[in-house]
Amino acid sequence: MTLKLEAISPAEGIGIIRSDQTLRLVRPPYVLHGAPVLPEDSVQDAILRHGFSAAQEQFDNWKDAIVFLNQQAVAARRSLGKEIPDAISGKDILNVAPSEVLSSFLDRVEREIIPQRLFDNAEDFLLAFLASRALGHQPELGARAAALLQRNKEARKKSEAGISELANRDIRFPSLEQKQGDFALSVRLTKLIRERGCVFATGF
Amino acid sequence: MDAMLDLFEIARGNANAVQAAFTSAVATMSPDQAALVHEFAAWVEEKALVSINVKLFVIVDFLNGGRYQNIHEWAQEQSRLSGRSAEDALRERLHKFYDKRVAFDRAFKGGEQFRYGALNAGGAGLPEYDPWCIILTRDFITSLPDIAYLPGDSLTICFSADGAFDVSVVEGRTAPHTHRHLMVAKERASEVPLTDKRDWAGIVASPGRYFEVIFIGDVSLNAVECVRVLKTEYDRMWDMAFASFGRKLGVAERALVHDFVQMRRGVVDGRIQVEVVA
Repeated sequence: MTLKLEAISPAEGIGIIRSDQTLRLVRPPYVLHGAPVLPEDSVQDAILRHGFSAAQEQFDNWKDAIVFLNQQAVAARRSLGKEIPDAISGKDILNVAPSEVLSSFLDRVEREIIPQRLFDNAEDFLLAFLASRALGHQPELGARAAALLQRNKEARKKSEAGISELANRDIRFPSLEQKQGDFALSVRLTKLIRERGCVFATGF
Repeated sequence: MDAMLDLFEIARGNANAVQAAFTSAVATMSPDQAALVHEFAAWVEEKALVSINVKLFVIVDFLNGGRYQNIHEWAQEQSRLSGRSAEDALRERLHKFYDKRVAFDRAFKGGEQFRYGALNAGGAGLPEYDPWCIILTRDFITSLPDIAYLPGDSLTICFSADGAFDVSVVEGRTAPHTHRHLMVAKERASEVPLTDKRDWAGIVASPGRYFEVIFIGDVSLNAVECVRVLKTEYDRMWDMAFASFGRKLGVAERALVHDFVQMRRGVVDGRIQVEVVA
């Protein structure tokens, strides 16, 4: 697969890349299935009217293309005397978020982050949330964040207790072990299949 | 060398012709339809402002005291920073599209100072590649001595199929600020009766189809009425910001989120207004 970069907006690491016959707008966070497919005249449009630069680099894979776009973002900003920070402070993000966004962030912690057992992430987020200036105007969001922090703590405790219980048991094939003889039969069958190199009992 | 054209003088000289073309277009319509087109023209005059779609870092530059750069000013800056010629920077950036850009800009007096925008009566302008749509204030627009309107993208309508610059389009179809609404109404006369009034903004500007505005003047934060952005892009930025709590963002992601936080700080501090549109 050859990927051809046809236009680039270096300061934002955005590229228009041709893969086979398809042009795509490739931009952070570089999720390929979310990369819009562009019409053929988009390269001219982007360069003549929207501040993109012409480009001709080619890449063997998407990973290399994305590394290049990231490098261009650093170089373009550095040439203007601007450095990209190593990290974005969570508190800075939360301090400028409007209430509907703060509320949607809490929804995501409740519906996605805690159920996925990303307890450290949830805790980091909620502690930053509770320390942010935004709460000065939104006391009800603070109460909700505190409740989620407690729920996260309980979910973590429950999850750790479950892991610990599993670690203390031999749970390789619990259902087979419960049925007397089934486990031993499975071991014999496995041995037979390995010896004849086939799951079928034929002579070939 | 050919004498340079004065785009704005041409536009001012076209005032009567634009008026006549509008009058002629509505004369062929039924009284009801003609009245609706007159209403549309008045609506455009009242509502439409000038927009420029930009990338997020341009708004951050505005907040930090910067001003909008056109491509020629960008090339000059590159020359100052790198020591190579501005012409080389321009050629490298535009590559095979260099001739077209330069043919248009250099045909006109002051052409390398031109800023290009679009008439905007609502919506996020032309957001495909530049999602952030700056709307310029009415005061700024009316204070501009040099401003002209074209019924489409200049690099499309002013060039023939073989790529030659066709000056007759500029001479025949450019309108001055005072007659912009009549040009828009004449061009969209057949669509107005078929379009719900709530969708009129869409026939003024939509991706790939718009009225170009060319002017000379410095654009900085003072000239900005508000910034419009599509909800999909706005949500995308918040998604990236939220992702920073769970993982270390890539460097370009961090650059964007950093810009976004700075822009939002400008909103919180009341220095800039952002409208999120569907």
